[in-house]
Parts: sequence; structure tokens; C-alpha cells
Amino acid sequence: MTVFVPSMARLVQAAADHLEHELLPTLEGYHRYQTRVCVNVLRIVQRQAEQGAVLEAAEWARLSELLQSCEALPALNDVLVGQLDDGSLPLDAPGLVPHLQATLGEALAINNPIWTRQP
Amino acid sequence: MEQTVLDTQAAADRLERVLSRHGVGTVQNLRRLTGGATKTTWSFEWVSGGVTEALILQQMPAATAPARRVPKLSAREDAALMHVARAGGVPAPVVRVVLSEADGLGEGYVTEAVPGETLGKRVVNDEAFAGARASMAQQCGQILAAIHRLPLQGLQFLQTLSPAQELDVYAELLRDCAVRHPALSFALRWVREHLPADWTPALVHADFRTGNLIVDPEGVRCVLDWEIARIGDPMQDLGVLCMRSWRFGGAGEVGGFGDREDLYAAYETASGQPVDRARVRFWEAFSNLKWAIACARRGSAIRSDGRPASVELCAVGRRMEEPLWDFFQLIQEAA
Repeated sequence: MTVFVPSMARLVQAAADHLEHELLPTLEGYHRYQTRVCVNVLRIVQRQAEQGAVLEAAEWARLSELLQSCEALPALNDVLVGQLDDGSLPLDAPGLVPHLQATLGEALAINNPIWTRQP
Repeated sequence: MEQTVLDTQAAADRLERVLSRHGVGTVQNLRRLTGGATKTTWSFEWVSGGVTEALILQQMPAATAPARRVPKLSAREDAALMHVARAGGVPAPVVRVVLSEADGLGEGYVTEAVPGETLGKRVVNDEAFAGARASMAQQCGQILAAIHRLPLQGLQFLQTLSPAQELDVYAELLRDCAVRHPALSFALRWVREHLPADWTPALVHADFRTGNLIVDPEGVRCVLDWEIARIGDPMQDLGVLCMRSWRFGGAGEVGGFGDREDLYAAYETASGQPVDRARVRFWEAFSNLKWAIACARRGSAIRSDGRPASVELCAVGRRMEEPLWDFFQLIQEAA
């Protein structure tokens, strides 16, 4: 892929910074709230651009171990959902709950990093 | 999810016609309030006969098919329930007018405004509510006991949902939005394996939590958002109130403001019924799963032209992992 300058993360960061620091202070009520939501959404995109690939690699490594398969991540997740839905995988299968919790923690690192740190 | 967006002046004119049926007056300062991803709330002043009153207009989106799968009261049913709740000593909104189709404002109603704060962050953090927070767990226990003993006569429209039926409803909602996620599949099976065998049916608010309560420095002044009420296991309401998603960063396990034992003790005293602690935890875990499924649905909601329904609903979709994370914490505490 070509070199993008700025990177996706920096591009989104610039847009989010503008909305947050320049537009938001001029707004109130409904539009202030909706713009706050837009800023939060862009921060999620920024973190996913920065960390998404590394977190997906960690998820794939755990899942391929759990399912003893080297297929791509979407296919592995599809197999796991199928085995949970049809009951063929016990809920206390070794490594299952730790994997699910780790994956949720990784998604939260992108979507809302403070969630796993608060009591 | 789509709703008619009226410009403010057109809405004010129509509202004035509705309210003038009971005496001529004018609508002033109509303002759309923040919050409410699924309905639109407006505040305004009604000036009639030299008296100014603060009122609230709530507009619900038109009913979406298939009806009745998830309990969702019509505006008329919602208003009837709030009337029964007030008669039973529960601080519910006072309904002034239920809108009809001819009013051109969609489905909804006008209620008397109750001064106070609903925003969760302020309720759990602001110094102004420090005194309120000290007594709110106890108050909530008393209010929930009052809700759970409300008479059901005249409320035949309320749906009864056993824990198993409720799980079926949410499993189907998840299938509908076609989100496949291992943690959701795990949680559905865990809940299926832990359904309570014994429960005593009662009127359940089902969304009784910080954010849906109007709070002033004295404590809870009004309980809002009755539209998903049903007949079910009353322990559900205690579980929902304790969910971390509705603590808004506050310290207390009850709503971000209070202690579980204060809630349970007040409920037991007011109701004369014991609180089944394990069943409250079950409902807290199940309610986290339900909220995760609701997030998945909101995050995948689209307009008729295929675009995302709204940035607000998209953002809620990305909150799906929060309740799932808490779900796993809860089932490990219980183990």
C-alpha cells in the first residue's frame, strides 16, 4: 500500500481535535451533545487505526490455540460462535473464558479504555 | 428508529392547538432536550390565564413491526400505567395530555415538568446532590417495593415475561440484527443454564436506574421511562439498578450512589419480602447481556436508504463490550 501522509490515525485525530477544541465550545444543547458524540466516535476510529492490527493478532493467536486451527480470524470466530450456539463446546472448556475476557478487554482498549480500569 | 423531525415553530404551533382544547394559551421556549436515543423530549412553558407552567413533551417513534415481541407500551398505555403508579404512591410523572394522531405530533404525551437533574454524571458526582446520594439507596428500595405491589387491575395490556421468555425474546432480537459474537453466544447459554426456577410475578419497571430518575438535593423526585414495564420477577429491578453501566463512574454499587445492603434492607422493610441476593446478581448479569444485545441492535440500525440510523446509535453500538465485560466479572464473583 502507498504511504499516506498523514496516516489514518493522524488524519482522524486532526478532525477530532478541531471538533473538540474549536467547534464544541461554540455549541450548546442538542448540537453540543451530538458533536461530543462525534468526537468520541472519531477517537474510537483513531485508536482502532493505531492498535487494531496488534490486538487482532493477539486474538488470533489465542483462538487458533483454543480451536487448534490456523484459519483466518473471522472464520475462527464463526466456528467458535457455532460451537457455543450448538452446545458442542462446554462453557468451562479450558481457556474459553480467559479468551473471551481478553478479547473484550482488547475491544475496550479501542472503544472505551477506562472501562477495564474502573472498579 | 426513524422519526419525523418537525421544526421547532411547527411543533410549537401544533402543541398550542392540542393544549388549547382545555383553555386558550401560548407555548413558549420550546426546546429539544439532550439525551434519549429512542424518543424525543422537549421542554416548554405553557402560559394560560396569566399562569406559566413548565411542561414536557415526549414523542415516541412510530411503532415498529413486529409488535409486542418486546414489551413496549403505547403512549396511551404508558400514561395509564403512570397514573396507576401515582395512585399507588410512586413518584411518576403527571400526564396532562395524551397525543392523538390528529394532533400531528406523532405518538406521545405532555407531562408536568419536575424540577431536578436526570443526567447520571451529575447525579453521582455533583456536590449539590451529596445529601441526596446518602439516602437514595434507601429511597429506591422503598419506591421499588411500592412499584412491585401496584395493583394490576386496568393494566391488562402489560405483557407477562417469565425469565425464560425474556431470554427467548432477546435471543431472537440478536438473531434479527445478525451480530455474531462469541461472548454474546456464551452469555446466552450461561443465562439459559441459570434461569431462576421460583419467582413471584409482579409489576416490573425494567428500566429503573440512574438516568431515568429525576433527582433534587432531597433525593428521588420522579421515576421516568415506564415504556418497557411488564409483569415479571421483581428481583430484576434491583439487578438493573446495580448495573455498572448505569453508575456513571460513581462509587456506590447501587446506581453509582449507594450501598447494596441499604437498598436491600429498605426494600425488605417496605415490601415485607426477602431480597434473594443470588437472584439479584443473576438479573444483574442477565441485564448486562440484554444491554449488550440492545447495543448490538442500535449499532446496526439503519435508515430506509441504508445509511447508519444516527451517530448517537452508532456510538452506542461501540459500547457493547462494556456490559459483556461486566457480565464475566459477575459470573466469576458468583462462582
